[in-house]
Amino acid sequence: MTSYLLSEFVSVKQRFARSVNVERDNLVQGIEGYILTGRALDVVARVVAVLSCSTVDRAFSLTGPYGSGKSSLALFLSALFGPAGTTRNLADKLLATCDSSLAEQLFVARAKGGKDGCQRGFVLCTAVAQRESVAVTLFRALRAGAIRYAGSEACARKRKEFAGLFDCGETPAVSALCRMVERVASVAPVLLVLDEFGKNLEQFAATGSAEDDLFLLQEIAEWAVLPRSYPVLLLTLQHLAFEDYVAGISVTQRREWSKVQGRFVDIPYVESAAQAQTLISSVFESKLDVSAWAAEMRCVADKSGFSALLHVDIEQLYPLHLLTVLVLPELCARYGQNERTLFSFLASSSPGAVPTFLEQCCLSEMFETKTSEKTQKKRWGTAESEFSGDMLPCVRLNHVYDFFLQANSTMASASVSASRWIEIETRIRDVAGLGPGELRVLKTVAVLNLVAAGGVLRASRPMIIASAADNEAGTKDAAEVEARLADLETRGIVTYREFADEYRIWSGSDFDVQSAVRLARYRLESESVAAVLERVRPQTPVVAARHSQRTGILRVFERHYVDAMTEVCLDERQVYDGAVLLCVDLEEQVLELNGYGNSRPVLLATVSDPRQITSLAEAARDLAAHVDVLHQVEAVSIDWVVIRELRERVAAAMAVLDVSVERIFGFETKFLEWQVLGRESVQGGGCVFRSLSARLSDVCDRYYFGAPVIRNEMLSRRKMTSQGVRARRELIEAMVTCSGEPFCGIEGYGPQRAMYEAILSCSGIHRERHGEIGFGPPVSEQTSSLGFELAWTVIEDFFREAEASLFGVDEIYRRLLLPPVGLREGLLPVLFIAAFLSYSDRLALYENGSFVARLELPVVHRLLRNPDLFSVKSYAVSGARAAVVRRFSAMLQVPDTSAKQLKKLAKGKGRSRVASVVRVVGPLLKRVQSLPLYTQKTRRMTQQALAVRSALFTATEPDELLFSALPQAVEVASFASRDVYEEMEIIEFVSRVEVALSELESCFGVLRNHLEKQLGSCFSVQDNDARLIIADRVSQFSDAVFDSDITSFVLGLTDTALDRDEWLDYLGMIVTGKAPMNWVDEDLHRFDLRLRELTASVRRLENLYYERCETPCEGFEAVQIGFTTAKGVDRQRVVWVDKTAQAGLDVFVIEALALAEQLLGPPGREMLLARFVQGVLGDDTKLVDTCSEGGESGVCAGDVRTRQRE
Amino acid sequence: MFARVRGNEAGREQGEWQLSMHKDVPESRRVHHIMGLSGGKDSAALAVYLRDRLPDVEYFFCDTGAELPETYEFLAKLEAYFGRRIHRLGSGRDFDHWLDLHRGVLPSPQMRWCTRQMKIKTLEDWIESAFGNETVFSYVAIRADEPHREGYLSTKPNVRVEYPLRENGIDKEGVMRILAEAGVGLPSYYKWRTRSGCYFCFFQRKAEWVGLATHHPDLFERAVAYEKKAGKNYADYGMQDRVYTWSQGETLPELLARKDEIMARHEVTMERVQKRRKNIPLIEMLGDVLDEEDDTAPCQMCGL
Repeated sequence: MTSYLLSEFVSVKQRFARSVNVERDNLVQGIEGYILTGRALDVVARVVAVLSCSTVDRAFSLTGPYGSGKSSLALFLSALFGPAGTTRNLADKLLATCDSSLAEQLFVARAKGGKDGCQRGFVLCTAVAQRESVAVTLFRALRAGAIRYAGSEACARKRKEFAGLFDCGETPAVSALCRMVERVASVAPVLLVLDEFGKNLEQFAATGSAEDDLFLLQEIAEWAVLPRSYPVLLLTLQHLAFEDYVAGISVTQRREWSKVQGRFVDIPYVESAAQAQTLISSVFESKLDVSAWAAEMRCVADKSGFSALLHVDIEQLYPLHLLTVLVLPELCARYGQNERTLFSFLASSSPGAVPTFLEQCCLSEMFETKTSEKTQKKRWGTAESEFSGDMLPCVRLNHVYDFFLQANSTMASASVSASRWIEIETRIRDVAGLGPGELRVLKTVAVLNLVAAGGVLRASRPMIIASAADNEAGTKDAAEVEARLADLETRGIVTYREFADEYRIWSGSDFDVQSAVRLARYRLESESVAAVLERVRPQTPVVAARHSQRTGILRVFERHYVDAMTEVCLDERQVYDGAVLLCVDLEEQVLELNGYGNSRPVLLATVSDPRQITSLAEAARDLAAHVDVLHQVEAVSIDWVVIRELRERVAAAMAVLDVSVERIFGFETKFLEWQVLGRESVQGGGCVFRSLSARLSDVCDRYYFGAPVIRNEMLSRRKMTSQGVRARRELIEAMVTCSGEPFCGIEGYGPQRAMYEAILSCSGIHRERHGEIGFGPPVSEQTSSLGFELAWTVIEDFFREAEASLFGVDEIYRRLLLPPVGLREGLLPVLFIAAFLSYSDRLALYENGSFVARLELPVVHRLLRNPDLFSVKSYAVSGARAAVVRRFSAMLQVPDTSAKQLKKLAKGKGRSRVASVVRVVGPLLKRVQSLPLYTQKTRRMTQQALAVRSALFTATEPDELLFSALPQAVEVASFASRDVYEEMEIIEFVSRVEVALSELESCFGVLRNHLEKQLGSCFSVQDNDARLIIADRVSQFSDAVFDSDITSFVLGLTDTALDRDEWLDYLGMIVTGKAPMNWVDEDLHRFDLRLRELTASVRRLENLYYERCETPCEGFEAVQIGFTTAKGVDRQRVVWVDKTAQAGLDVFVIEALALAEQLLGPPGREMLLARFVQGVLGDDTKLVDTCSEGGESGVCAGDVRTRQRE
Repeated sequence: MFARVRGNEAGREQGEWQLSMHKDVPESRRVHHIMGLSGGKDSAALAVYLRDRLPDVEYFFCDTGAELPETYEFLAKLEAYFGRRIHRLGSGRDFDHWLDLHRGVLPSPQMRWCTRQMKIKTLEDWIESAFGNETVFSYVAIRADEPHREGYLSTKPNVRVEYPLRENGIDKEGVMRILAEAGVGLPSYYKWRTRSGCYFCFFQRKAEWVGLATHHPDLFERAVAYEKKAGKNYADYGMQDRVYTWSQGETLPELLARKDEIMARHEVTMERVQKRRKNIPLIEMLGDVLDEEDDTAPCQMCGL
């Protein structure tokens, strides 16, 4: 019942070293384990061929990936061409077994070196390059070769040919090196092997300075060709083609490079699939009889369709599963270091490698007994199913996965297909709760995914089954594997891709990051360095700290890269106080600053060292390429793995760039020159500053000398806070409404008070002057150190300029933002409004081009919000116009500061400007603005009043209104452009305007009077108490009214809540359905007509009422009079006759009747009656007019259908 | 506290309306009465109703400067009736003022700064400045036949809201009678529109927009101009991809192009409603029809 470890039967045949050092390693040991692969043979053949022919090129460059066995080959070559002895014999033997004819050719070639040469071999100069110049490596190789050839350093020194090598110091000149090679080659043939030659090339590309190197390489390649006594054979080993090492250098240099490479014969060092399998098959030797296993495997391979991929005998492959063999080379090439990784998997003792597997794997007891008998067929060979049964254990894909995960995960991240690796690894690591069987299947899929490149070798169902059906719990046979696979698919861990007939763990695409980056980089070549830098890594702005601290205004400079190809685009908006330009170009250039430099300081930093610029450009392009690809990938969201990988790469590239930038533009590095451009171009030479900030502060001190000290953080902020904006609004409201009060009437200690103190009070802008508190210029520099003077002067200058025409408020803001004042936006409205208020009597404000009569709060709010919609005009008047203004002030009783100035003028002290157009026009317009709509529209007034009204309502410019429009309206000569005047003329003008204004103001009152008169006449009441009388009369029968029109009229008539004017307006509204305020002239006519209709109705009602009513009023006699004419006019009216007046009337009536009879005979009495009735009741207009004009009331008696009530 | 009760109008029939709510206010403290007019019929009727029942009611109107001319005319009539001027709140701060302060971004149901700034805030500011902390009774015109709603409730503790129409059972018919008797009548826009408010109110129904285009082509043009300009402003302030339209889903010119379609639909609904309910005044029917066509909730504050 003993169990045996598999390692007892299977072992690793040879020693496989992980890596070889051509300088250090013992030749014998290296050769013993060497596997002469196909391509190695090829190289040997070429070298031999070259030696036997004198004219061909003898410089070779061997290019192959990491760990492909280049260094081992170099060792083997050294052995072949080395001195006779065991090593050479070993090598010869190895060569002869592989290729006997080549061995013979070699023998011939070797013989060319003479007998001595054949015995002592070549001078073997081998060296491993470091990041150093080629000359240094070459020199080291020569020395090593000489010492080895001579036996020891002492012996070498004695030989005159080698002596030169030891007494020329460490780094000989190139020409000296050439001579040395010549000397060495005169002793024996020379084999020059430079391993890791790529490092020399990198060094060359990085420094870009070693022109000598280029020359040396060229020389060496040429010597190799030159015919001389002994040949010189040069072999360089590197990973990439020459050109790839020097991708970053200039075009001319690159051209030189290709010339150099042309002199080398390039041999690509890549193994074919068959070679790789041969190599793998030679690793293990097995004591087991594996023929049955092999037959089984063959069967599997045929069934799964990958037998065509196998190039070696299956039996030799044990203990590796066939798929493992197929997958390994590809996997090593993609995610590892080729053969180095391959052999470490096959032969090393690292965890997860094959030897570990062998040691851990037990053979079953049954199997052991059967093998020991060595007679019977193995039981598993006759099992029911091909994949079940006691199969010999072998290394399957899940083991491969484990190994790569543990040993090689770091390598993987550096490889081209890293994204796929990362994703698969992450998926498998993160998925929880899988059984061992599922995990094995999953890992199998993973490995197949990692190498999948289409074709047979992919994670198809047969492949997975072929590898995963391993007779262990959970994956015993094909059916169980399929079940596991189905589980995994259900859980969403693997997906089946139908189009590819493949299971996949990774969901992303096969995005090739490196080639995408390379392409992006290629595209970037045409973009200028400055543009690239600006795009991917813009510089942050810098603060001029000391200056900012002193003035309370934060001065910030933007920083940009510039070069000849890029247009400098500085932000013209007032965001920054200046600019720092970092020049990444060597050529002298003219910067187009587009006026920016004239307004704000611009600093230019130029770099004197061209190499620095080159490396910066490289770093920038690298970052930009990665950023571009990342954006591209993110835009289409190709897959998260690629995005993650790219983000990491971007971060790394950014770090590299930052270092590069800091090295160049970090402050005051030795190759940086500073210069101030623009208004005063200053060479920054002399002074030395501790930091960029200090330099900027110095520049600010010179540029922004007029900046006041702002002791309020809220106002000097670049972008105000909402609380700040609110406080500023409240401050400005206080300034506008309470400018005459201490602290502008601000109560308490809110933020607005702080602003007030900092800006208006401390500076002396708002203070008491001549006994009055108000706004004015700040106090002079001696008493206040705040320095508001210049800012104030700038505003004053602006107001002076605004005399000619309108000037936008934003223009003044712009000036204050620029040097030398350089204020912050927050402060602008405060200062502007303070100055505006201090000059308010001669400044007019315009909004959207129209005059603002008064600075009211809503206007202020809009001004704060949209200063660009506002403009300012300044008025200074003199002569006739001043006189006009004075007269108007007196007329309008403008509470006048100019009155004081008038006095001053009289005493000859004041300024020439005495009165203010603005202060007059405002009240003037105010007076007419409140007129009712009727007054604004009616034509029922004098021509002059109409003209004045039209002038006032159509005026757009204050001065035009006052000096030309109004004079024209009242027929006075214009004052617009004359200085000769007489006082009387002006008095006349003003009084005419006054008259017109009075007429306008009384116009609506006239209308009301008219309404009252009409009402009175319709109700035949001509009395001061008409309203009361009418109300009293109507209220008698108002309950009897049902018609809605009449109802409202009656209710209106009886209303007592309203005063006279209101009552008239109300009645006007009821009668016309439109408020008299809104009437036009036609409404007046409508009123007259409608009123008559309504009154007629009311009077009829009245009649009806009195028919029913006994005694309506005491002391009156009611008489109803009616008449009808032939035209159809029918009128009825109850007339009230005052009994006290009856006696007086009787006298007149008797006389009139007598007179009529006397004139016309007896009918005269009746005719008189008819005419009376017609005249009084309004049919005959002629009589009606005379009647009413004569002031006769309609109270008269008639006897037509008269009914006595009493 | 009544001035006097006048002739045969609603109040008499409904019985004396008692100011019961005033009882809990101490005698010594001054109380104020305010009443907001919207330009619509209900508020007008309430104002008429209150005139002779309460002395010294302060009538106010939040003037947006963008009302229909009919509204101004109607207010003038009411003013003539009251014999005192209605307080025009928000003077100097009309719609254009606020539009300026909002940098040309027009109001919309999502960003309704118009109501906030021009109605609510204006009113609160006025109460604050005119009455301070003294007790203010605010009378709101919600009819007895309206579904229950509250109208705008001030956040100020000293403002009390009263609903005299509802409390006294005055319904739509009552409102009509009150207005007719006062000689005020209905605002003339009721022919084509049922709600007061700005002429470009975005709560307007499509048929009402057509009405505006028919009755006030000039105002319609101005609304179009606002809409166009807003589009530009949106682009300036980072809303490039959005198009502002007053009416949901289409620009005004597009809406006007569909004029016939909209009005045809309007007519159809009009007929249907008429069939359903016989003998109803046209004015009522218009409201029902418009509600049926488009049940966008009106702006409560503006409509009060």
